[in-house]
Amino acid sequence: MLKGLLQRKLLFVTGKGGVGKTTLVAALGLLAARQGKRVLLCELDTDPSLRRIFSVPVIGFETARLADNLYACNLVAADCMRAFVGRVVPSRRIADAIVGNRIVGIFFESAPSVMEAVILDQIAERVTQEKPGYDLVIIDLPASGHAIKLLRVARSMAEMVSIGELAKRLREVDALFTDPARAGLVLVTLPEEMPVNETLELAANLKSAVKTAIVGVVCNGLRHLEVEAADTEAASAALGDASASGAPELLEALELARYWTEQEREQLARLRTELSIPLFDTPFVFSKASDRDLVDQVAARLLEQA
Amino acid sequence: MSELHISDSVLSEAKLLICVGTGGVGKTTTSAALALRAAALGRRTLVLTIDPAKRLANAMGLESLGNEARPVELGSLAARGGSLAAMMLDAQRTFDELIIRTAGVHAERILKNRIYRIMVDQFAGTQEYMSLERLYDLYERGGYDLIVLDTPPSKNTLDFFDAPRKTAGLFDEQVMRWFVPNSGSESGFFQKLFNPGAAVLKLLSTIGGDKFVAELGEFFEALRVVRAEFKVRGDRVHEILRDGRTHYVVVASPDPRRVDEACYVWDRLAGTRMQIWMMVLNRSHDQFGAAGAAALARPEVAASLGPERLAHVSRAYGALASLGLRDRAGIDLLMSKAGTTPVLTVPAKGRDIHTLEELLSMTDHLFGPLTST
Repeated sequence: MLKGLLQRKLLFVTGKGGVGKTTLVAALGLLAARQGKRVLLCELDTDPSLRRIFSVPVIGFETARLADNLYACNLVAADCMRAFVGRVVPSRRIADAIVGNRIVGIFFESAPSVMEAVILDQIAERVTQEKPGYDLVIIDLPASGHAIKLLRVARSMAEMVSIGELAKRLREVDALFTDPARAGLVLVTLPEEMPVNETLELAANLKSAVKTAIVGVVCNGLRHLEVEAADTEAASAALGDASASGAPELLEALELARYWTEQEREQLARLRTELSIPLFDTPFVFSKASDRDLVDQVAARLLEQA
Repeated sequence: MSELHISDSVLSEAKLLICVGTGGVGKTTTSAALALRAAALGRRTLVLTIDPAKRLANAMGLESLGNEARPVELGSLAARGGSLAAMMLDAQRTFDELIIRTAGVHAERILKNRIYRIMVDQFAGTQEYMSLERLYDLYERGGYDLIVLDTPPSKNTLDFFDAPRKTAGLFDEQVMRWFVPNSGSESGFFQKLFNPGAAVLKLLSTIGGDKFVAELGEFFEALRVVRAEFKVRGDRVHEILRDGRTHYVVVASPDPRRVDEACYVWDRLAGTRMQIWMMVLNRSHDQFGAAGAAALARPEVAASLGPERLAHVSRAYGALASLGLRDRAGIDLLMSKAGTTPVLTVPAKGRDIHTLEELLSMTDHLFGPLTST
């Protein structure tokens, strides 16, 4: 199953905020790099969490090395714009004058979809570049809603712009993103009702609005406490006086554990039956683990499901 | 463990509460709970939210939420004369309505422009901008004592405050002049010398074709019509966000990654004119510690559970106690950051919120139970 994911050239990872997207991006990247692939991880103008995970000083527009075969960059719209204009306008001086102008900056920042289009352009650039080439590029997309918007920009801009350099480029980008052999989307979720609702909705929206294939769903944060109603009832009976010291805390904790157990079963079953997409699960880490330890534990579990 | 409660007097005095925080920390639920508490205190309250869970809408007795305010049936909670209405933001419709109201005869042309359509549909700042637009109307003439605003989730939660400035760029006079030659005063000498507009138009036409440039021109010309109105509203919203009766609630959770995000939000708000009322930390496990473990270690409890079940239950409690340790560290860190601003926790619950009572009980963790006087 994992092989199917990693054999593509371009993977997008998205999901509701706080479900562990970046951890998954790092784990998938490490696994592919260990298989000998040259891998590039791209963050899109975020506070770079990859930097913290891999303890590297800076991740910017130029790629930084994270580990053997593993590289990362952070794509900020202004840099992508500079790169795009630099390719279209032959003179470096004119290009710099245009991009550096304050009013031009205001225009591009506020004109709809322009910033998104140049980011997509840069993603395609990284996927197709030859020296040094990458076998796999993984994109840490923004949270669900914004991700759909970003992925739709290529198509809707292409409808509007029919000739010129941008049109040609948008058609290439669209062709790459919608080719199931080359590109795929991975959705990350949690074993809770709301995130799963949102994932099911996102999958439906992606199918109708974005033609990129969804190639995997990862349910992150499984606690595996396996506490049943029988356990909470037995504990309650054993404690006798439920108001005795420590008893309320204990019973509350067990009730929470029982609820998590029930939710994990229920939500995994929903994901399995309602989506016919390969489903992976990754663990919740209770101990005070470093960000890097967390990535390694997630990677180890993914490998078990290879 | 922070068992501290604070007074809910701000709920009786504020005109606007703004809940800020990243996605996935219970911001929508917190907003709804605060609004409900204010209504129970006797205020005519509106909660303006974005994309709430269907469950939450149902908890408020609503099938679904729409772009119009829907009254929430409060029953005995309305005893002090308060009321609660809920509204969900529909950014696209709000923008269209604004154009229809302000653009007069030009409205139809704007609404049909393809660049406008793409903008309302896809421009990342539209939702942020429109929630402020909606807020402006409701604040000025909604007839509410208090509005609770649940800000949109975004990768950077404070994009929200940049939205007016970002969208204002659309109305930048100099940008408009590129497309609409007569839109401003005479160009100055330097502008004639180097006109970035001409260079950009040439570039846009190279990369996008003349049709694209023509459509962009129409888009900017159309927006010129509504510009003055937008500017007035933008300035007014800027003031409302900093008003003495506007209070901010930072919503987060004690999870270490969320603590980093909360610190960032805090740093951005602190030192501005925006007043932070409190920090609410949801899904806290700080109550799980030594006391629960000691209860489990009592000989009669161990005997009654039997070795196998005791081991199983102990493992589960141990896992939660380690979360407790982690959360207490996060809470301590945020408390030192917040200084004199209260930091309050809401414990993680083993169920979803289904009713108004459950929603209201969330606020008991912040303010203590509602008194009957």
